Amino acid sequence: MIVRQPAEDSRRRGWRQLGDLALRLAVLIGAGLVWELYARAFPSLFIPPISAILANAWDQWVTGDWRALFIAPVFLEMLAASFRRLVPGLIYGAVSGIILGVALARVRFLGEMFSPLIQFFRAIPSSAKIPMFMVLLGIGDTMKIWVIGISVALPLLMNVMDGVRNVDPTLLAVAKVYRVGPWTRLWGVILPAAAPQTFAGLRIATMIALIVLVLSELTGAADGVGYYVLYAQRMFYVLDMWAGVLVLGFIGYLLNAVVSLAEVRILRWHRQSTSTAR
Amino acid sequence: MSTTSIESIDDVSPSVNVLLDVVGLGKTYGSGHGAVRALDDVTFSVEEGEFVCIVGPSGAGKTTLLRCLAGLMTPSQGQASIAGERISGPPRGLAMVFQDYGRSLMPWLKVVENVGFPLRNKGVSKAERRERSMAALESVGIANFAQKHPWQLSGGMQQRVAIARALAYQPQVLLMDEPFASVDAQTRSDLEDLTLRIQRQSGITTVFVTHDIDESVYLGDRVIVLTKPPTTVSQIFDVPLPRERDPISTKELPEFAHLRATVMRAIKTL
Amino acid sequence: MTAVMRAPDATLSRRLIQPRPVLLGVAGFAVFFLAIELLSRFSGLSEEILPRASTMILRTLELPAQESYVIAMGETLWASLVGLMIATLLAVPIGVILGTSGAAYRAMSALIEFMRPVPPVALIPPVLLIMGAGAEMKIFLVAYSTFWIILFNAIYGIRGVEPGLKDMARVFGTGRTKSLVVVSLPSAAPFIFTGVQIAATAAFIVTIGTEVLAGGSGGIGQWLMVNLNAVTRREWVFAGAFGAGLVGVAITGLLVIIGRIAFPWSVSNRERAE
Repeated sequence: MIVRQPAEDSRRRGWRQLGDLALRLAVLIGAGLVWELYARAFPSLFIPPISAILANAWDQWVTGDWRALFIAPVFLEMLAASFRRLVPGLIYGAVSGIILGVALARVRFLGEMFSPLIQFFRAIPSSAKIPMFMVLLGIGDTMKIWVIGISVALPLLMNVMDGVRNVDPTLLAVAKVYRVGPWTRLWGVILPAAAPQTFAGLRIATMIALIVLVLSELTGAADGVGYYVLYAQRMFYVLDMWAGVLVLGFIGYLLNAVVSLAEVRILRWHRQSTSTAR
Repeated sequence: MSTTSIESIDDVSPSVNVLLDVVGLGKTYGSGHGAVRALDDVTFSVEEGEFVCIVGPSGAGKTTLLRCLAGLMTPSQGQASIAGERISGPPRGLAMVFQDYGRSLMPWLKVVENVGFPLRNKGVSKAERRERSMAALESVGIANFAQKHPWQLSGGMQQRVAIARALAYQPQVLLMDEPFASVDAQTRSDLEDLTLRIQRQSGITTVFVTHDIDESVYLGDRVIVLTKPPTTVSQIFDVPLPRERDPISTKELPEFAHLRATVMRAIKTL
Repeated sequence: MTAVMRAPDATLSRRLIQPRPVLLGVAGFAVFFLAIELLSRFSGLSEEILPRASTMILRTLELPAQESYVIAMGETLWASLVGLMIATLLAVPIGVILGTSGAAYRAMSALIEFMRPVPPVALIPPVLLIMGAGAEMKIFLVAYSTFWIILFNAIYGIRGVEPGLKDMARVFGTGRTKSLVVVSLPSAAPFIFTGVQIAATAAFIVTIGTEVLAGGSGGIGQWLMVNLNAVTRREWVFAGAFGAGLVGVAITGLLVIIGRIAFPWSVSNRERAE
């Protein structure tokens, strides 16, 4: 009747996670080695060995100053500039996407009225939205935050709408029969039930946010990681350019990890309930 | 077993014995040529503290009837009232156990939280909510699963959680919509006895919809037989069995067999 | 028994309300563009910043007559399509192999999980350096970025095949390879196709993004930037973006129709049939 024995299970899971981690590391190191060997076998000005890229990054970004956690100010400033655009854009986009998604799904009239318009704007590639917003808002941070926000909100909104529309009618009937108020119905039934799809949307949205951030920093900026990469490319600082690309990859990985972590914590019931249903 | 916390609310004046009154209830889905007349003209009443079973052939609009009583659906004609008050929207003091236990419990809440869910924002303190939830779980015999999630339990257990949720709500009227249709036979028998025991202890007026004639005769004080759609009340039978029932001895009584046959005949000849 | 039927005129009016969603959708567009028009006229913003909505719409309708736009759209679509095809041809077989073999999947999943979140546009500068501006660079970037999306869906499509189906095939004596062809591939195909659909959207984004950045690579992106820099042609930026949106809608619609015809057994099609 009760599905699992928790103690034994968690220990076994611990070992497996450790094994997975080791495998992951091994594969990544292997991939690095392939790059290294390729770059050494076919020397090219533009594809340097990864060891050279890392050594260069170490020289530039790591200092002997323990008070700054050994990180050079240039590196922090570069990251800060990017996060100053990314984080507000993500937050505004996510909050407005969720609110609008719930509203459009619950108020049928609004949903029918604005779904086609939203579909249309979602279909405009985010990269084509950047020039549009450059006309409207110039090339400053406001433009970047807006484009990120809208690029996040639109796909998220569609997912939230879908999730809210597909809330099991039985659960809504339960809430109705037991006369729970609109607040409890929203926070206790609708939002949790739509959470899996909301997270799926959020996952896509964060990836899009990063793409838009990089694009917008490549098109018009004087700081940030994207600008750093572009500047290095123009100056033929090939090692710096690749280091910047690696940093962008790392940010992507980090964002993905944050969303996954939140998802695992919040949606534990969902993962387990769907896996035990089988 | 403590039963103090699941007493029914007695705010009906004692002179009025009829608690649930259904008069000429009708429900049509759609309109024009495609209209489906599910309920035609359903009239019956349920007295306070009574256990009434509603049976009928499949597709007889049993669920539609129950949803009208729960205020989840507006009837096209006629009306239903609880304690003299016309039902429009879910009435106060009414609880319902749904057929599909797997979908009527919130998978993201623990069992005890599910039971306490209807008491949120109802002026019930957190401590009292918990106490009432635990008492209800106790009375359905699954207090030790309070911290589990519903999907970790078997179907029968999940339906117990749904029953506990209804009890913790302390309703005047309990509606049950084919609650045991999808559990195995043994569990079903256990749940029937559990339902009976709780009903006897709490005195909650219960309307129990089923397609199982055995179940209806075994549980009910009265059995209401519905016709095929467009549905009306075909016959109403009083159950001449002692109120204390037992799955073995009650079912071997000649009265049981006789009534069971009569009800079956009534449905067959519809 | 008094079965009261509804008055016939009530049903008639209900039938007439059928086009309601379409009308409401049109109303949604009207409300939005009216708001833009009013904002443009009365907010004091110059038309170089916020052109009149009426102008935007007019210019959008004039796009097919703009030879430069049509050519640019052709360049963008071509690069997207070729890149997407290369990615599909590579990702589907690799994904099927990885999805079938547990060990290979475990080993590769780390790399995939690591590469997938890397924003493909971050590679624009290095690829620009290596390949120079032009169609090849766009195609490479599109192929690279869509490869991971399709690969991911192919792996999960194959791994998600109903075990009962595979057991059934084994019970009837179907060999491993044949079972892959007759059971796994058909049941994974709709999921893989979904990956291609997502990838198509991504391809469009990446192509235009590359064009926005790398002058001299043609396409819609460059067309938009040229008009952005010509102060008198600002409204064309909006029109051009709207045009890209309309083409995007058309591509999505086309892929949905292809999916319905090619994979009638997919879950979404079965749901529709119910």
